[in-house]
Amino acid sequence: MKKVFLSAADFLGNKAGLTGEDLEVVAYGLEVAFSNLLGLSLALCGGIFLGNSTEVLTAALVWLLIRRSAGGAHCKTLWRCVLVSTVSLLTVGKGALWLAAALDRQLLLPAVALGSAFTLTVMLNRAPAESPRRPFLAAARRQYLRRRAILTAAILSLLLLGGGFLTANAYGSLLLAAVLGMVTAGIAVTPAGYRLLATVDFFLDFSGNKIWPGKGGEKE
Amino acid sequence: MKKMSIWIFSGLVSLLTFISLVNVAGACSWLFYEPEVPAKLRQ
Repeated sequence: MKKVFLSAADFLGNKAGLTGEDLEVVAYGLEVAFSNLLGLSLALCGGIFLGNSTEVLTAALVWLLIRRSAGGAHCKTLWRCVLVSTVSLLTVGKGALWLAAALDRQLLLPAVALGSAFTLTVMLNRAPAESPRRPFLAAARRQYLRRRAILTAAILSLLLLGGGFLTANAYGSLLLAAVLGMVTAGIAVTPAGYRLLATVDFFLDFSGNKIWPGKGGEKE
Repeated sequence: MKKMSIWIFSGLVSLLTFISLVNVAGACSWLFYEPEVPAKLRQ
């Protein structure tokens, strides 16, 4: 897949007069834009099909805010990432709808408080999580991202608790989607989250190779 | 026409470079995929 992005960047770069390392930067931008847009579009389509698109969008927004500062576990290839992200967002959306129907209204705020406390604890102890593909070379940058992750989790928690209180939990499923989004983004920062995603990644690679030998287990 | 195509391609390249820079400023990509960061953008 990387070759496709490099070829596209090469085409664009030649038209705009770019060479060498600048082409790699353009290819990286193309890869990032494509993977995120594809993942979000699939999750949104799935959400519309399942009738929980607003919950999926809410969880995706919370993921964006937390993961940009705190980092977390990753899949090794684009297609596995798109599959895992889509399934995770749809599960969070469906889970929020189910919980909102099952939980008593009085229990919504304690649930939000519990999810917020978990995420804040994870941020205080683990953020930012480093990825081998994007090491933090400067200590100051690590410190900056750590502060940003804690601040983001704290502000989100306050907003959700305040929002739940002021609206008297009228938007329970959205509130729970945001909290579940926060919790899943938090889990992705923990060692358990890394192990879980590595296991899923391995299983998808194995299944892909079985279904389509030589091609299904896409090269990293 | 040629001038316009240069503008369009330059704009596209600028947008993609902007996306790269914004993405590399955070701790990780939004979803579960993290492409290899180019050497030029490593800090």
